[in-house]
Order: sequence, then C-alpha cells, then structure tokens
Amino acid sequence: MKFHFSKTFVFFIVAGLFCLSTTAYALGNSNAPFPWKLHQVDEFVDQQIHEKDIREGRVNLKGPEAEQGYSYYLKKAVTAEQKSKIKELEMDKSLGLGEWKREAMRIIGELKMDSPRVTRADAEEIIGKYKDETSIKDAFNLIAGAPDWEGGSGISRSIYFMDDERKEAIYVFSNGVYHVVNDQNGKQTMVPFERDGSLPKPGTTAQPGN
Amino acid sequence: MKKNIILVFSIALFFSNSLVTFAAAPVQDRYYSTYTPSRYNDFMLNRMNCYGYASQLYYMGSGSYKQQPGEFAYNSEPFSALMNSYINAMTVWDNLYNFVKDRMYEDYGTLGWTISEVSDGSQAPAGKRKIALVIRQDEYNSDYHFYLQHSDGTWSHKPGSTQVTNKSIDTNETLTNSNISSKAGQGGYDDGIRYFLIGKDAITDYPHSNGQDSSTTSTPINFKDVAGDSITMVTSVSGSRSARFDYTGDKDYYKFTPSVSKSYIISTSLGTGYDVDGVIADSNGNTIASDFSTSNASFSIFLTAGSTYYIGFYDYQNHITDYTLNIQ
Repeated sequence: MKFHFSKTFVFFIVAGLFCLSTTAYALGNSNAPFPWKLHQVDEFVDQQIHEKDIREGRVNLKGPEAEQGYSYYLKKAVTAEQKSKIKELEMDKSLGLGEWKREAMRIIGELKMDSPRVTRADAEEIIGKYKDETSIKDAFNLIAGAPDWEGGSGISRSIYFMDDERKEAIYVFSNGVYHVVNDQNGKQTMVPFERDGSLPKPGTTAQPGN
Repeated sequence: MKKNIILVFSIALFFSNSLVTFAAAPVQDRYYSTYTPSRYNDFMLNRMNCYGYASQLYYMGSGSYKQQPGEFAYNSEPFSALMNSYINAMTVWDNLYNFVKDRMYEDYGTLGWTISEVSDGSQAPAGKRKIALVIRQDEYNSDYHFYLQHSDGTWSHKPGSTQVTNKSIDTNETLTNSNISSKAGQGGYDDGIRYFLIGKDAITDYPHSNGQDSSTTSTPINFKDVAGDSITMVTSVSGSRSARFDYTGDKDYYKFTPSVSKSYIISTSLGTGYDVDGVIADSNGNTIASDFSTSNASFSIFLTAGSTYYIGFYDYQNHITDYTLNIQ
C-alpha cells in the first residue's frame, strides 16, 4: 500500500508542528511574561478574602442596604397619585442633582403637611449655638423635618426654604450657613447673619482665570 | 515549493506574533477601566464623590466625605478656606468652571499626575485615562460633576454620595463615547462639557489618609500606596524590607527572585493583634502557598535561584501600620 501526500498537506503539517513547538517553548520559558495569568492571583486572593468574610460574618448575605432616595419614597407611596407626585419631584432638576426631601416626605405621610419652616430667628439661634454643619442641620431638621432640597454632586448643600414661594432660603454648605434671598428675576443675594461678614473670605487659591 | 515555504513562515510568524501581542499587553486598569460598580457601592459609597471617583481617590476614615478639587494642593490650609473660595467662584467670581479646572490641575500636579484638556470624548490613547467635567453655574445652586471613561468606550459617574452608575441622570441611557457629549449635561449641568486626559498609574488606588473635615485641618499627602494593590503592580525586593499597609484593605505585592536555591521563611513582622493573610505565586501566576486563616501568615518554602516569585500580604483586621517584610 502506498501513501501519497500532497506538498501543500505536508507543509501545513510542518507549519502546525512549528507553531505548536514555539507555543510550547514560550509556555515553558519561565522568563516569558504572562501578565494575564498573573491576574489569577488577584482573583484567587479576592475570592479567599470573600470566603473569609463569609466565615467571619462580615458579609451581609441579606442583600443590599435599604433603599434610599426616590426609590425609597416610591416604595412607600401607596396611591397612584402619590407615586405620580414622587416621580414629578424626581424629574425636577431645577436646583440641580439632588432630592426634594421635605416634599417627598410630606407626600408619603412621613411628615405633616403643616410642618413649620425654619425662620431666620431660628437660624440665628441655632448657628450661634452649634459650630459644625451636621449639628446645625440636625437642629434645623428638628423644626422642619427635613431640608426642602439636598444634593449636589461635587458640592453638597441642604436648602431650607423660609417660605412656600421659595423667595428666601437658608443654605447649609460644609463651610457655613447662608441666608439667600431670590429677587423677581431669580438673582440671588446673600443676607449675612450677625456672626458673619458680608462675604465668605476665600482661601489662598487664586481667582479663576478666564 | 518557494510559495509553500513562504506560506509556512507566514503562518508561523502569525502565531508567534499572536503570542508576543498577548504577552506584552498587561491587563491594565483592572478596576476602573471596566465598569465595576460593585467595587464602589460598598464601604466606598460615602467615601468618594464624583471627583474622587474620576480621580480614583477615596477617603479612609469613617463617615461620609466629598473630595474637592484643590484640597490636595492646598492641604496646608483649613478646608473651610477652600470651600469659601468655592462659594466665591459660584457667586461673586461667577466662574466655577475655571476655578474647578485650576484647582484640579494643581491637585494633579501635587499628586504627580499629568492632565491636559482635550477637545472631545473619543477613546483615550493607551496609557492615558479620560474624564469629563460638567458645570452648573447658578449662583448658590452652582455645582460641578465628573464622568470617567472606560476602556470599552462607555462612561460612568458617581453622583455625590450615591451609587456609581453608567446611566445618564435624566433619561437613564447607557453613556458611551458617542452620546456622552449630549447626555453629560443632564441633571441641570448645562454649562458645557470639557474633557481631560489624565496620566496616572492605571491600577493603584489612592486613598486619603485622614481627609479634611471639621475635625482636621489638612490632608496628608503621604498616602500613596508604594507596594501595588494588584499583582501586576508589584514592588521588586531583593530581601527583607520596611513596608506599610497604607490604608484600610491595602494589599501589598512584591516580586522576589532569589539568588540562592534554599528554603526561605517569608513573613511579616506583625504579631499579636493582627491577622495577616498571604499568598506566594510562581512566575506564571500559579499559587504555590497561601494562608487565609485567622493567624498571621508565615511561609517556609523552597525557592529556586533565578526564578521569579510573587509575594502578597494583607491584614484582614485592616490595620494601617508599618511592618517589615521578612525574607530569610
């Protein structure tokens, strides 16, 4: 019996053997870098730590923490009207990225509809008593229940309107509390509290160039 | 015949080139060039804002924290002074964009990174990352927000202290290179979008030390993680050396090539009160020893001269502490 191989077939066999041998050489060469394999170690370590977390009871196997923000309010909303109003609030970005807390709490019944607002006199007394913004906000919330609006991605602020028309508001930033008045054209003016100067004194940063 | 030889070598060349390409392309940007929200929606949720997420800086202390452009460059002055400047940029100076940009440039310079403004949201070139900045200039309602580009052409962001997401704020659409310019302004950030190329180490995470809040007056700059948090960011060692777990959850990886074949004792100097876990891998990433028990890891292992080994240690109790890496 006589076997006959075409030249093309022979060369493909040779080529295949060549490739296999170069691959085997590379895999066997300990100096060759195989960074994608090194990530096995990262994954191994992460997995081991995760399993240890479970052993040590550090992992919350019950799932994610309680819902927050509008998803919480929507969950608490019972009627279609309540849900619709919450969704309207969520879409209202007139003050930017944040949450209309007080109104949402009023809609779902967690806050009375006739809850009082923070007055300038309240604010004067509270900022005279407390120095840090967290305590000041806590004291404001004891009166109003919650800020009307809270948010900001880069710069956080809590806003307590002093009237239903939103003409005046108290802004709580991380560096201080500001009483702000909106005029008919939407222009804002800061009315300094007694303890403060007319404008916050900037740090040593340069003013922005144009 | 000649044609067949060329064919053979062409095929061989193709395969060998494939090997070289694979081997020379480390999986960089493991955490933030792929969209992995689970890494940020745990204890990090309140420890970084949009700037922290885009810059991969997070606060190590307890409680919530929002990084502000400028806090690293102006770390020697009270945080409230910087925030006063922000209020001025929002109102009387009326130029929050330039203020944020200037402070960001100063921060990145302080941190040893490069930054340059570019014209569009196309894919960042290899070795660079791209972020986007949007501004809302509206007096006391002014704000800024950042987005981060991923290696697959998608974008994500972390709005304040809320969860990392790759969706647009109002219309809940997946953010991509093709729509980022039209979607990033949602949420009221209507003062335009600007893009920046960042030159920064791709893998190592950079936490703060104590951050700046009402109880502190400065942000220490000595928070850089020297021994990488991933095995591809190892620090080469020739023997024992001083080291430090720089932040909560810090993993330290080292590369060691022994000059003598023998049995080595590999451990840390940390004793009672610590729970050091460890791993040793060979040059191909195969784990050859590990200890994730509740005692401190210490390995007695035979290592071959000239071979490369990877050593990783991690304190499960999350201490931030100096230690000695012992290789004896």
